[in-house]
Amino acid sequence: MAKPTEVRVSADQIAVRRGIEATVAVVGNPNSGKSTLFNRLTGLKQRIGNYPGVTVERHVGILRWKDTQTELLDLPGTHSLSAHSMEEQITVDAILGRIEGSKAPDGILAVLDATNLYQGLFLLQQLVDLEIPIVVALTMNDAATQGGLKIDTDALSEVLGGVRICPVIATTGAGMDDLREAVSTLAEKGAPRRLSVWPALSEAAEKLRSVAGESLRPTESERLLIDGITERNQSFASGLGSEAVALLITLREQIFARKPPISVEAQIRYDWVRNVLKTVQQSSPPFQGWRTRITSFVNQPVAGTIGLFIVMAIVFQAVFAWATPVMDFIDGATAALGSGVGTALGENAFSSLIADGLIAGVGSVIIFLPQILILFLFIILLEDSGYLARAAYLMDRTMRSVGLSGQSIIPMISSFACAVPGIMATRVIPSRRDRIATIMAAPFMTCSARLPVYALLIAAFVPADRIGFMNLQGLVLFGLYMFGIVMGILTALLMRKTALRGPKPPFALMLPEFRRPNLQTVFFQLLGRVKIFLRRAGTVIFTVAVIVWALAYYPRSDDIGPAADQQIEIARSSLSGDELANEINAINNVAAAAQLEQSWLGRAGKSIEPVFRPLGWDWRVSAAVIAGFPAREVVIAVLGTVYAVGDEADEATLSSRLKASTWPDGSLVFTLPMVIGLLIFYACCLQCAATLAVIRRETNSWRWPIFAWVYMTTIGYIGALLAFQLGTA
Amino acid sequence: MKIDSYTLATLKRGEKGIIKSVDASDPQVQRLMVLGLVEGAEIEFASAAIGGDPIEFRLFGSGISLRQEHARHFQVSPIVAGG
Repeated sequence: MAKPTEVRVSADQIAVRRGIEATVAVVGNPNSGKSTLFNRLTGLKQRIGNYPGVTVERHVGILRWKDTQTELLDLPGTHSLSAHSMEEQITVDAILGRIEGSKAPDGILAVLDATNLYQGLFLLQQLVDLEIPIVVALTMNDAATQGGLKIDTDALSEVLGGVRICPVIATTGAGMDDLREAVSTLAEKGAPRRLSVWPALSEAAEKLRSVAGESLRPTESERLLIDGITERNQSFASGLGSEAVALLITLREQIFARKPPISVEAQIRYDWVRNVLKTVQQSSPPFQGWRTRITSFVNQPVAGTIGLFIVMAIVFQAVFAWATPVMDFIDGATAALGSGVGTALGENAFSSLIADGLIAGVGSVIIFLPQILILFLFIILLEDSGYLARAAYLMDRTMRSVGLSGQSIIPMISSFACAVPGIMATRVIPSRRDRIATIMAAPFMTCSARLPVYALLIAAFVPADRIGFMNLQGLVLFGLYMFGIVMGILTALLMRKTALRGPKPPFALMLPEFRRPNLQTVFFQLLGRVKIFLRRAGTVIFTVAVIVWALAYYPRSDDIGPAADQQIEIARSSLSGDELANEINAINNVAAAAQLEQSWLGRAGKSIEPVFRPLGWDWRVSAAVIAGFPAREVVIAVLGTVYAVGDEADEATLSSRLKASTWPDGSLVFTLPMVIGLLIFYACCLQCAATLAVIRRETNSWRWPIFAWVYMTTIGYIGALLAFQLGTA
Repeated sequence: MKIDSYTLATLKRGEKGIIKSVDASDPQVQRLMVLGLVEGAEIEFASAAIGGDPIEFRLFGSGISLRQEHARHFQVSPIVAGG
């Protein structure tokens, strides 16, 4: 049995690490059911981190079986070990233990999709050749049976040199215990014999190793022969001496003559796969199920494209309509809690901190959790069912006309949830120009953090009239989403015509079969997103709420309080009953407004007010916008806090406070042109430090995040300026 | 129509063919070969997006989409239905 290996880990990981017997890497084609299987095997015992230096997420989980614990490492899906993209190279480096700070896995769990043995076996033969213990999980057996495929697992195992194959059905859990046992005991098993389907390459690889040294593994030697020395395989190519490099060049000429090595490799390996398929797979006419019917419907070009727009419209409608009852409840609860706490603690700084700072600030962000949940749920469902890939295919031609490819659609749709994973998803785009143009377009997509601002302003200022089956509020929201899309596409077009001019972007895409999304996978992904949202609400937004409250509360003026008390005394002598109560209320509100105005926040807002005055914003809106630059959802929290201590505080909710907000001359601040301008500003402005950081990491330069910020902020400002000035004139 | 002018781009809805040769000079085409579009592979036209581009093919039961301009690099010999 393998002894626990010493590895460099941080202190908080040691507890988790205790008793881990082995690490097993989970490898497979994209869409092979890899993530579903990983979730099934590890359950809640998983965490997501990052590989050092790169932005590829590192998913690690623990598999418990009897008294053993095995660490599972979920690697990005790949078609080949030839590494065409950064994600694929991570997979290769992780399997070979070439990533600094992490050791090579003790075994491989290869995920093989029963409905796609053709591509699956292409990768699998490369994996078997790695000389690492390996077990194969054969997934999607139910779908294969429905599709009329019969797979002889014994024959398949024999072809692969006796590698153990565990058929599983992730939805029912059938075969899972077999797989758990096989994975848990994998490290004790020996490595499989190399298949060497390409003798000429294997011989050449041995020659190269005899010069380069034994530390170059057979697989690495073969990859060098096929791929040559490239930017991506530096991890093992950089150690070659000059003699080895010279030999490498000679050997490559001998094997490939003038043909592209990648194409020779593909031809030889797929010839082998086709022969194997003849013996292990029998196909009969497929069962005509719901999958076939859906596929044949969306395959009609026009119907499919119209269907795509209907699906997107339904999503945005649902986000607005379904969440309302829950949001109303949270809104009411927050208001009641705030006033309850305020009354219980009396009138002092601490009471104000709790009621006006924390409850009003954090509460006004939490209220959007239902909408964000619904949005993420839809995006996860669309992705998991295979529909997003279909969208990329349908939209390719349209995207090409703006200089992008259909592959840019997936990052853009993901950006509706959040631009950070959206920008990370651009890694599947092979061309750098195309990728950066997509990265510049992605932050324009309406992310879930913009949704609260939109929702608040729409609910307050757009009537809830019905137009057909849509209500007007939903329609305006849809319009704002469309506005973001148009701005993003125009930006991409502009970039591709100027700084990123170049050849047409490439396009090749696997279109997975429609499948019923796995509820467990959906649950885990949704849970992950909610955790991130609540963590932000609990840390960043909490902190900002407290700071903003302090800035709005201090310094206290010594004159305002006594002056108000004096006025109240005068009122008491001349008024009584309701009239008196109203007068006291009015005096208190004027006093509170005066306090706010001379607070730090008031002074800061006033000093920048001239910049935003042409947009029709008063100092409170200006202060909220400035506070929102690190994270845009903070704006709501700031507005919540500012208006809770201001003179509209006796209105129950934030939206009614905004409606009541006036300039000193009594005219309303939130007029329609001003609100439209504010919405445009939010649709454009890049108020998100996390997005800037991820652009910096993904483009590996400060140039692009700085450009994106200046560009988007300028557009937002000009848009808001035009809306207000034209609307008011 | 001459056999050698028959490519993936000329297949029509429901038609099947076997890839006879691949012009692999374009790196894009090499990438498609890694996905399984190699000599000897049986491929079937499944659908096309608006305007006939990109095209979706069935390759050993899986959907794969590519553009007209790349489909032209794959010469096919058509399989007659039932033959």
